[in-house]
Amino acid sequence: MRPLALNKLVPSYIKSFEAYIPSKPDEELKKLYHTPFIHRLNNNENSLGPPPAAQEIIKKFPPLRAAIYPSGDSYYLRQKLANKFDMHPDQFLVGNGANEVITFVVKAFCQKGDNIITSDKTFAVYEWVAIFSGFEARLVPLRDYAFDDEGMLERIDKKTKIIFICNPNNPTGTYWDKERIKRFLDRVDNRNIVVVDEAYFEFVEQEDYPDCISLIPEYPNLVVFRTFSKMYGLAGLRIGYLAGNLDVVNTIRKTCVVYSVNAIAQEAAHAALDDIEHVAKTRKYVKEGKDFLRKELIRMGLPYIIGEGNYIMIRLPINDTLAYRKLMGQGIMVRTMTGFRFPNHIRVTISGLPIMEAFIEGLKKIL
Amino acid sequence: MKTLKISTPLHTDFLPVITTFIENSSCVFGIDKQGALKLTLASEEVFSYLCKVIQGDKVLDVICTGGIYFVSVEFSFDKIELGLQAFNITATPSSESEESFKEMGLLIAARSVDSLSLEEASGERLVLRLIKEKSYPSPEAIELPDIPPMASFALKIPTVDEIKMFSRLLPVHYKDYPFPDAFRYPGKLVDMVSSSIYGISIATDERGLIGGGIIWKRMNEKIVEFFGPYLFNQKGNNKMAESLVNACLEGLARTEIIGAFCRYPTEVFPTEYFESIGITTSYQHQRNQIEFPCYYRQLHEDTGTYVYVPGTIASFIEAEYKRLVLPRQVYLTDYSGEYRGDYSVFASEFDRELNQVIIRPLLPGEDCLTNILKHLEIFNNERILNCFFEIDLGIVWQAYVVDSLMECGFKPRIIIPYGGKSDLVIFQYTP
Repeated sequence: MRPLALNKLVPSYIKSFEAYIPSKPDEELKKLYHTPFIHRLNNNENSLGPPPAAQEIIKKFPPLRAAIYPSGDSYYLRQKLANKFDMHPDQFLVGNGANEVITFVVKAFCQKGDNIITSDKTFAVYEWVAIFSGFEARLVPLRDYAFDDEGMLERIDKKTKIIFICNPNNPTGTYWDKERIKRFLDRVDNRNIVVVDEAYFEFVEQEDYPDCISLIPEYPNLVVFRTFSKMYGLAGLRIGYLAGNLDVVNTIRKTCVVYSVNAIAQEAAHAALDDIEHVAKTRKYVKEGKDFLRKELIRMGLPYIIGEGNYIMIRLPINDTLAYRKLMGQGIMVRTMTGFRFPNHIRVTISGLPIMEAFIEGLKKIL
Repeated sequence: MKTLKISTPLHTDFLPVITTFIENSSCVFGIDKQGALKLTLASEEVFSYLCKVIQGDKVLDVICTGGIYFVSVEFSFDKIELGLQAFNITATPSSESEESFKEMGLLIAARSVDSLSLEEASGERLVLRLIKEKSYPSPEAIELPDIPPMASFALKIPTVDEIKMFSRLLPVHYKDYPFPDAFRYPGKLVDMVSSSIYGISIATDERGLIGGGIIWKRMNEKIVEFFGPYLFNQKGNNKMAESLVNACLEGLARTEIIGAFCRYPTEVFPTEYFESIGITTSYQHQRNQIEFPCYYRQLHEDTGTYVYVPGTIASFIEAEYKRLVLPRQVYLTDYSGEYRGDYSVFASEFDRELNQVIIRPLLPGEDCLTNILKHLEIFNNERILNCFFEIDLGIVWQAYVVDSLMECGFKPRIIIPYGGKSDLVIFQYTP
């Protein structure tokens, strides 16, 4: 038998693409780093976990129902979202985490030779999905740590299909206010699809922060992403959704893989949406954590970038990958920022005060 | 890069097909006539040799690649136990033995090209790669611009003319500083950057004058080596040096590269971006030596790997892993008399300007100690003072070479995490 001609089978844009390697399971990391515990401050998860009603759903899920397929299009969850936002259920698409809905949108609108526009220092998945699907990702540098509207508008050409904006931006926490978003959408003038990723929407308390779902009737090219992984603590169940104009969402639906969202995730998300108290409690601990870190980091003389969202970015006087290993040795797991094109920075998820104190103690030891 | 490929039965009847293919491909890929003939000669010898030693109805894949500043020829064939010792730079044919005569062709091949490597490919195949670099003219003397200190500057990917100017400025401003000889040839540096194996970023002022730059090279699929940052008349401009390093790291951040390494850091190298992984000594004359701290950094979070470590260097390796907080599963291993062939094979990569040779083991063998000693003798005769030997801790048989290395006077100097299949230890010989 002849050897497998892998080289011939793989497209050039896949050959040059770097596979994302997720971190090993905690048990393996504990062994490798000789630590009895790990505080996960790397993925912006909610340290309170899911809201109580969602926890009940998870606890009481009948094991025999695992043999039955879930609703293929998250029927009841979309009904609930429609009621909540006063829209039609078909204006929502639910996916296996927001990552999956990014893929749906890119598949729906891009073809050979097309490009997408986003920033160079933001959530990497927009760029990755475009590149490994064979499309160009045009990366516009951040300006003052925020998305550069003028820079993005300048890069639009006839082949531009989608513009991705992360609002607030991960990892800088900056955001465009309502006026700026509307001005941008007016300038785009329906030529392109504009995706606003609001993964951290529920953490933002600023009055001028826009609720982009409310802008959909005015801007048919606007698609909004939300997730249950952050505020609602369902990251382990993988569930997120998009909302948009009915015709746009019906087009995206054609690329959607049905049955990709499991039954527990759909039901837990359904229950989580009602819990206002959970949102308030989370916001409270995030505020306390940020206040604490601000004081400590000033005392330590470390520059930081703090904005909206449940995270903070810190500039270190040593390389971030070394800091990661040293902190892991103390059971503290942060996110290195070189991969976000911020060398020597780390991003830290805001957690409860005792964990934040442990993080600061750990940081002091390694610097 | 462009590639051409043919597959032929391993039979001497097809030799003219191979030689015509290599010669014509080399010329199309831009190598000069003399270089093309040398590469053809080497390929002819390799093909003839493989026809003699590989029995049966086998097929050979030959791939010719134009890498802009070089042409490579790869021979891909089923794994066999070859008498590849003739690829050692130390090999000398003996007229007394027929076997030795058969291998003389390989010796000719090894010495006709700039680089020869042998590696295992997937599916029980071996790949033997010959590389011949293009020849480039030395730069003509021209008047170079006076470069003022730059308070403000912009970083950019240089144009062809800017790369050529950088190449001319570098030897003037870093006269006594080690850097690869190839950087002295403007045309070659342009082609090296075009090949994507090398990258370059420069800092310019508003008039377009070059205040500094940084070069990086892909050592393999995972690691880049940095050269610089080089500053021209910008004494103390740490901001420029830091910006050059930062831009370079940002450019590599979402690629397959997982580590960046610097063997010869300049005086403005921003150490806070890296970690010290050891010291090498640059011997310029027997009595003139400079110590160079080597720096490295990862671009990803370290998810751990395994290493095979011989007892002789276990304490050094474990101390370094502890100092660098590298999560490693260490398997202690030592040679236990198992069969490993008669002859070891090493590849030697020379850089005459740096007065340096890097040796890499290709195959294990009983004659390991003798082979290392023979190599050292040749380097001594050639007055090469900087001898390095790389051991990949991810390949168990390479760990067995370590005892012989230590016996010959090599010492472990630095560890490059993920520099090979796993971590790479670089040994240096103390003359």
